[in-house]
Amino acid sequence: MKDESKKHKDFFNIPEHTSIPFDLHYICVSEKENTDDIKKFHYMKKYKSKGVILDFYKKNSNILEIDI
Amino acid sequence: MHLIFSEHLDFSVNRVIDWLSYYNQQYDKYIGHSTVDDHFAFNDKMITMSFGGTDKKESFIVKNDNQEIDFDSIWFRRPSSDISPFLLDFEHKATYPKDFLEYTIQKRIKVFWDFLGYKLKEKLHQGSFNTTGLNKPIVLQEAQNLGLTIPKTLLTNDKEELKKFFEQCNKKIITKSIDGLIPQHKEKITDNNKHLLAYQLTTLIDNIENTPATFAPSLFQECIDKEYEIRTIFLNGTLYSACIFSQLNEQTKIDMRNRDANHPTRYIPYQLDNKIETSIIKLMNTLNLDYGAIDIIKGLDGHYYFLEINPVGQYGDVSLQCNYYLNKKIAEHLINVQP
Repeated sequence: MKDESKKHKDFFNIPEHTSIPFDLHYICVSEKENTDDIKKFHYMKKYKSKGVILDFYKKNSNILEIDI
Repeated sequence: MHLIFSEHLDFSVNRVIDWLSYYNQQYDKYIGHSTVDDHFAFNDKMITMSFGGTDKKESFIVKNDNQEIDFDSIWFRRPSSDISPFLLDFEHKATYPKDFLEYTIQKRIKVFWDFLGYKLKEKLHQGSFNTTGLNKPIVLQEAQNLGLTIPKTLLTNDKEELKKFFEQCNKKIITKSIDGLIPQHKEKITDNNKHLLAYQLTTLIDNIENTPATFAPSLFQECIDKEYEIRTIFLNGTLYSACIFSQLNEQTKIDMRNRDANHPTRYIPYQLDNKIETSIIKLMNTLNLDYGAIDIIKGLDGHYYFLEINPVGQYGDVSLQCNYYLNKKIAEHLINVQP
């Protein structure tokens, strides 16, 4: 979800300039949780040949905990 | 062996791998530079390609521990142009700057890498080794030439022309990026387990006065009042469309990717008009693509507006929500079996 707050607006401080495209003044910035992708990958590998669909990476996943 | 060019986190690929496993197929995934040691790599292989002479004899050999690898098919899901796996550090004591030498080496390896992709394309394949992005204005122009309706579009660096366009479009225009932002930059925030992620969404401009006075050539389009959005997946000549009710939620009205986790957007299977389907297929053939995720909107005025094609776009949502089984179809194409 787009962060409409002004919390991190200084992350991009884009000046007005003839070499900077218009759309770059509308970059969105959001806070995200840090995740360990490698651990997720190894976890998923256990299931990759069993035809199991795992949407564990989604926040509304029905898998509450990953036992790595 | 089926080789898949992908990225570190591209979950659709794993669903296709599930189907390859179901059909008892060997597969491997190349994701460029990887910290996971059991992915396929090219820089640890012996690669030989020969051709020419009066007999025009050709060979293409990739060896792993002296064993030749037999590629049954290649899926260029998200191919990388990154050649960094081949660029290992070396000792340099000469006066000629090391940066210059590294640049020179990169140029040579890029030629080899592109030719390797060219040779792999001779195998049964899906997707394109070279096309990971398209020139948006060219695609829009070609789409219009082939009979598709596109929104009024302006490319300019002139604020006065932008103001005129703004008035012509009933004071509602959108600005969108014509190329990507590097999303991998994850700025760590100290004191907690979070980082900042930068991205771009389509932005509505309904007040021209508070916008930049000077800017580089940029793309603007009229803001179409939508009835609904259509996401169409083109896969080997067939179109699989989904109608997306993005207009039911204020948050997804301008850009459907601005999803609301607690109120998922509704998708249903959709059959596009025959004339529009024919034009899209012609466009994909013109662009020499066998895959693309195409965005279309149905305006409140009754017109269908073609927006863009992403040649490596995600298809998982359309496939899952509309029961199109695209993962299975891709796997079957790679194995060359008839469904």
